[in-house]
Amino acid sequence: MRFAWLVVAIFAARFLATAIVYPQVDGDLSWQRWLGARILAGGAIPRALGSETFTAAGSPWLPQEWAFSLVASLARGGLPWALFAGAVALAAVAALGLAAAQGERRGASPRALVLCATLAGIALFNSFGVRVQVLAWLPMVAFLALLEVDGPWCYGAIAVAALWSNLHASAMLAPVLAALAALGSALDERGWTPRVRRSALVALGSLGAICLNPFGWQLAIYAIGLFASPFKALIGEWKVSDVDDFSFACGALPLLLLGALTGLRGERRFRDTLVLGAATWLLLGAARNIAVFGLVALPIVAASLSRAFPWFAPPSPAPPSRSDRIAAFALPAVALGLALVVASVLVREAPHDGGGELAGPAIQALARAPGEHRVFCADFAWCGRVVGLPHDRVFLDGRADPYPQAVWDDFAAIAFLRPEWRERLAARGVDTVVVGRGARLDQALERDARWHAAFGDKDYRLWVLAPSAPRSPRRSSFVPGLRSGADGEVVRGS
Amino acid sequence: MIGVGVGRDAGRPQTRERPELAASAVAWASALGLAVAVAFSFVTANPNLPHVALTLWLGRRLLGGAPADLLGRLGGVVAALVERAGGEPALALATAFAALAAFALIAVRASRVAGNVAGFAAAALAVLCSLDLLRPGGGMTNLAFAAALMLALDARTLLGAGLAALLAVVWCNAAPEGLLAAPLAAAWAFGSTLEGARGARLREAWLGAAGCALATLATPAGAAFPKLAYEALRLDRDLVALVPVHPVDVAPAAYRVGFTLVVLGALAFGARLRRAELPPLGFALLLALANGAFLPLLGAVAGPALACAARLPRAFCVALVSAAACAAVGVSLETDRANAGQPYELVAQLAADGTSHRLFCEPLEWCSVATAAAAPGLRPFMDGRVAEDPPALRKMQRAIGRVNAGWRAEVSRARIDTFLVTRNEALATLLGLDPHWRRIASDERALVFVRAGGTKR
Repeated sequence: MRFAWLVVAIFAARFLATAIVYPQVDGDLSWQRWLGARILAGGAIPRALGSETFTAAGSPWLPQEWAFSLVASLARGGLPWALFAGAVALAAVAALGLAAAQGERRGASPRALVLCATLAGIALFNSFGVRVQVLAWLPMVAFLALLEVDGPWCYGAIAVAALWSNLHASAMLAPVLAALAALGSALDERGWTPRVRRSALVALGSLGAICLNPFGWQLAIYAIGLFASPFKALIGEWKVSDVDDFSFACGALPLLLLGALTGLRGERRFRDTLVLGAATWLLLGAARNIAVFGLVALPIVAASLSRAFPWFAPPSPAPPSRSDRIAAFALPAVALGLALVVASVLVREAPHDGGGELAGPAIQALARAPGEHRVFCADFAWCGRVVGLPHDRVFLDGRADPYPQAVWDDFAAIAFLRPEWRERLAARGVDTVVVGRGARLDQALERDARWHAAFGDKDYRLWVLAPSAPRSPRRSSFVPGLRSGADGEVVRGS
Repeated sequence: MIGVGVGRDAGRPQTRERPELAASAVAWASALGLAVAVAFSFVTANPNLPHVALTLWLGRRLLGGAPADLLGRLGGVVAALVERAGGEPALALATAFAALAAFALIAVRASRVAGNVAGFAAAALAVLCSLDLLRPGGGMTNLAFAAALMLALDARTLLGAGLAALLAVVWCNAAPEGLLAAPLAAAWAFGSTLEGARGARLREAWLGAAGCALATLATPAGAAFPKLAYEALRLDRDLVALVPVHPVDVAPAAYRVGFTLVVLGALAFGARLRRAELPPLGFALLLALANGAFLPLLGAVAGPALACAARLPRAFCVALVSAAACAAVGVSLETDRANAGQPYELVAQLAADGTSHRLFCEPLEWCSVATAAAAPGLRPFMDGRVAEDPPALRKMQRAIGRVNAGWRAEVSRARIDTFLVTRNEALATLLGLDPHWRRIASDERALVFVRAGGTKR
């Protein structure tokens, strides 16, 4: 691990700096803060969408992110934000470190660990952010580590699964991974051995443990349902991984190739094959699973690489030499130095106008505008920032899952400018649109006299329906009063 | 069961069991079923596919005495000759023959090192990776070439090296995929070096690689072939953006299953793979990930390698072959529906209306249909031969097709006066909103717009 710590330290600097200093890049954090505040105010987790949306109020909702949201609502800025964002980054670093330590436990050499930890770290890049799924990486790695223990401690994995299910719905992977491990062990050991029995019991225990959350068994049903949800096609993170993804091309793919080309060896061959096979299936299914694959593959591939190539083989045990003793002190110092360099470069290059992302200026303009608005965002994640604004209700936002398919169909028709886009916009009573400048919908609204741009900058535009335009009977009382100033800033109408 | 050294030092079989008659019979029957399935899928839909229509048009042109274009298109000539001899039934038979030849070659290579029935299991894995090839059609010949090349290289003799080079020459002239012969042969030679091959065996492996590399120059395109063929393979992300080759688009049914099967096999049995197999397998894995259309090639390379390493039980092999045959039949039965919706009637209307059209298509492949119609008034802006168009043209195609900022200026610059576009695309909606464009025809999937006041022929 001594060399792998170098890698982990550099990734730690990168993750900490980007989490704390860089502006919010995930629209979900806004509605999650709103959710946390609602839970704190009402003392209960909401189970249905409310009046913050005008398309699906009353639709059942399973806010799996409730625990994360509670803390996020308390950490809106300053030191609390730094602590919160730092904790999320440290969870990712801990997951990487734990996976590397697991590789060492399996007999991986320092060289193999450095290579595989670097690749796994890169695999985390695309998904990393102050996000709930990042927090879920640590329990996943801890679960797999405990599952490998040959002894009663392996039952600790059941407790980890329970904790995991209170953080994220990906906890439903716990019983699946344990069952595959049990099956693989049965193939490896050709019988019902103590190891097979323990893994099978962990699988059964995890099945119960993932129900120990405020939603009970419904969380697992919800997670399984996500696999078949058609709306995933409209979400970038759910697209199939391909070589255009940096984390895939430079992180997960080399790990996968190394694993496939060296083949898995040792007494846990089928067990590792099935667990890594499941991670491969997830990897090929959606880009959001690239990080999951990296963390699962790190220890398995590092150990396999160490056995396959002499150059990667562990050094023979020998009494520590003088250079070893020097390295014991020098390497942590080098790691710390490199981490500080990475962090300082990232902090110096951090953009200072944090509102530019996620249509921030257009949404700020919307918040300042008088009257009530029924808002359509061309990227539904932007509308996460509108949730909770007084007088504004959204068509669709980053909560995504609870919205009915009909809403998604209408969203796709409007955002992608399909033939019936105008009728659907009218039928839903949309009177405000946030869109990227030059995007398809922006070009179409430009050619429609009933819409006028109330705000515009180089990246975004806010369109509002003209007062004289015919409106849907379902429309709420919109009080237009916006006009565009010379500098693109919203000016209140007289 | 297999009686062959399959470890790192393994090479040739030492003993071979007599194949079980029943198991072989099931395997052969399934393989025949596959061939029938391929033929059926070709008869029902493949001749209507834009790239098949374009290939046949190119072949007919060459047979008519037109000068060969840069990529040779021997494949088109052969297809046109077959069509001339027996029409669509002959084309279907030829496709079935190519499929059968490909899977038989894969099976033969695997049988040589892993036993007869395991050889069929290797072919079955290749079939599972090729299921979507039954849908787009036309690629079976490439699979047969790849399988034959690997078989020739695996012979590890001077004759094998010469045969590999000869195959590469024919393959390069038949299709741009021939370019893959050189890196596959080089990967094999590198693997042989890793394996510790010495003397004549090593020399022959590298001779084969050199022969395949030289073969890429023996086409009408000469030294330009590698660059043109590389672009035609659509590994370049710029081209990928223009002509989708995303695994989901290319191989919706089989991509994930086929790929995961190969990876699982490699993880479980990779430690027993012959080292010579590792570099070609790695190359094929990378190719398939860069462009999902190469998943069948991965199956052809990985099938024999994994069958050799896995020492699969006979019953499992037979089950795998049968499953592959069933899956292939299922895919081919679905082919007709999947390939419906090519705008042949609209293109015929445009060709017959007596007006000259500078035509833009979205999706791009619809313009291949227009090119294949061979109507003098139809001048597509670009068609499926994207590799032969300059980058500036591709950039314009992308900007207009995706209605990027400034697309209207690009339309004027390219002097486009007719659009053939999918109903569901933003381009169709924006043209409908624009008074300068007039909708003149439509069907259930496509719309045709012409510039108001288009030029008469």
